[in-house]
Amino acid sequence: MIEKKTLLTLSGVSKTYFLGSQKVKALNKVDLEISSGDFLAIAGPSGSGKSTMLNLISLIDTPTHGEIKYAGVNVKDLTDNEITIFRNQKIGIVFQNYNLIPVLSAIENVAFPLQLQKKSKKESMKLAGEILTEVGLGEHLNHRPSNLSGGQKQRVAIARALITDPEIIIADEPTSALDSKTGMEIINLMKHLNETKKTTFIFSSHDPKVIDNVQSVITLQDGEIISA
Amino acid sequence: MNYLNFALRNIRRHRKRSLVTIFTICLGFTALGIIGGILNNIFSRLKEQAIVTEKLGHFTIAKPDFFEKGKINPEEYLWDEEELKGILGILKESPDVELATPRLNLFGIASNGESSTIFITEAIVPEDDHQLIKTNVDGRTDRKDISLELDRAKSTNVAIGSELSSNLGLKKGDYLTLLTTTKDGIANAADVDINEVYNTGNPANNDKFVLSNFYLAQELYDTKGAERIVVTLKDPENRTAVQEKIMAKLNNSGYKVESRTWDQLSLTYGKVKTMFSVIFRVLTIIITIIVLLTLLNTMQMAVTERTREIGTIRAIGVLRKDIVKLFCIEGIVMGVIGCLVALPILFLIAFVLKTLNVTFIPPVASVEVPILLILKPAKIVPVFVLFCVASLVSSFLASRKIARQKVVTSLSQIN
Repeated sequence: MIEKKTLLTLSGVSKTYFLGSQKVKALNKVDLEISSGDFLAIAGPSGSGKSTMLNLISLIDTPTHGEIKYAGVNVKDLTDNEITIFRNQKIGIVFQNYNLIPVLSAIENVAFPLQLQKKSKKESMKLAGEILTEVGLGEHLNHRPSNLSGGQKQRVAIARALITDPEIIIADEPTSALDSKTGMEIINLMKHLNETKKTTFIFSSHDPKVIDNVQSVITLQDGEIISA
Repeated sequence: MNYLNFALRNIRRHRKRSLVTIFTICLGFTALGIIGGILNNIFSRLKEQAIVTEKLGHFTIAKPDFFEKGKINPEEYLWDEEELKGILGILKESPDVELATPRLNLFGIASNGESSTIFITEAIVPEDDHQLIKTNVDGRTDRKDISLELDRAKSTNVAIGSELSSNLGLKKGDYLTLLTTTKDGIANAADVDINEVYNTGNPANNDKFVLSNFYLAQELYDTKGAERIVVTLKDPENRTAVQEKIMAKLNNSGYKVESRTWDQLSLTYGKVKTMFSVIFRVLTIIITIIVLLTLLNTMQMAVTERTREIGTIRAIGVLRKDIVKLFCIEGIVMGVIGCLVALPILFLIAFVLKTLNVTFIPPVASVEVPILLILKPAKIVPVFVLFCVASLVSSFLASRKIARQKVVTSLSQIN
């Protein structure tokens, strides 16, 4: 058995929001360790803290207390620019509502993160075309997001998250805007990529059908992990 | 990442809003172009009036302090015949000088035998004046030749201002008596023939101006000298350097002299130019603020609508400064397009005005001149740059806050 390398650790991570004058504790002293190659689902009811946890892991939000370490590097020690570059190179993010850039075609959306790494347009587009073909969108390379279905948009979003060959892909409710059949196709695609490319996937879902198909599940309730 | 391409697509995405913004910029640029073009024309006409009609040439030479105290004690500042000959000789030898002509200025009472009024006369050498009238001012040389008879024997011919003519009930061919004093203060008079009645172009002197022959004025003033020499240059663009060179040469030759340029001597040019330049600056500021606010509004709307998108591209790896850069490029592109669209419109308006030959009377002038747009890069380029800077500033102001916003906050924006 191959020993898995620790990719990410959350130690005593809490997140508190203010909704007007009301204090909301979204996460409460969460400890978590994620290893490379994991395919992990975060389950829990609405308001349990799933999105907050994924936002913190994605480094698009900062914890109120506690530490997040990526491969031993404490994120707190990085500047905003360093975190942005880190996200671009090491983390792929798949959004619930796809969040594709409407003025770019499918292939341009996918090539976008690579172009931020100063890769040539030719090279980026070639790779984007290959990945889109791999996720089953070889026929839709030049379609704008407005001309794609929900499932196709989410495939583009996954391809965009994959293109930089990140260490981890984080998906917040990737199937919630899709019908159950398309949702399962997306989960199977992610599973397939996890098995073939060994990419770490963490995603949240409150759909029992999706959760039943995943081996590792963390359940959150009121900002705390109640089962792992 | 090709931000320009990205910016162009975003401009196209909100076509109507972008078009309104570009139209506002275009309108502002066109308005300033028209005002600036008309002002250039007014300044050019006033310059022509000063150099040619007021007969100031490119610059005037006189004895030191003449320009300040010459009117109180004019005889003290007269050059005698020998001095005048010497100075004229040096000037006419200079390869830069087109014309150097002596002048005398007298004043007194003009009478038709029944009534009288004050007059001032500029005494000119007719053959020199015919040359002065052909002086190139901003490319124009073709103008009505109002001067005096070249025939030295007809030195009693004068041309008078049209208002002086009507005030004294005189017309071309009538006689006029000029009563003045010699340099020693003795009364002297001459009967002169009115050879021409014309509008001097300057309402301040049109009712008292007499253009007289230099040799007649010498007799009236009892001198063989002159008080001033008016100079025109072959290359007026190079005036400052040439003027300095000539003045140095004259002073080194033992002639203590000083000089004043046409714009320093013109009674109206400087004041009118200052007034209109201030108006133009105020208008430029107002229009630039309108452009800036319009763009700020457009960019602010774009930023608000695209907050989630900004959050997304920040999450993917776009740096804060690049968010600002993206919006600044969008703003500048709209600014540049607006100005570029305005340019052919300006040239078209200039062409139409030239074709229609519409005329007007410029301020402090009394003769009609055509309304023309003189489009000079020196006026257009700064406005172009100013509008681009305004576009940049408004885009920067609109985007800097969103660029600083936390990614998660931007992503949670509900459009």
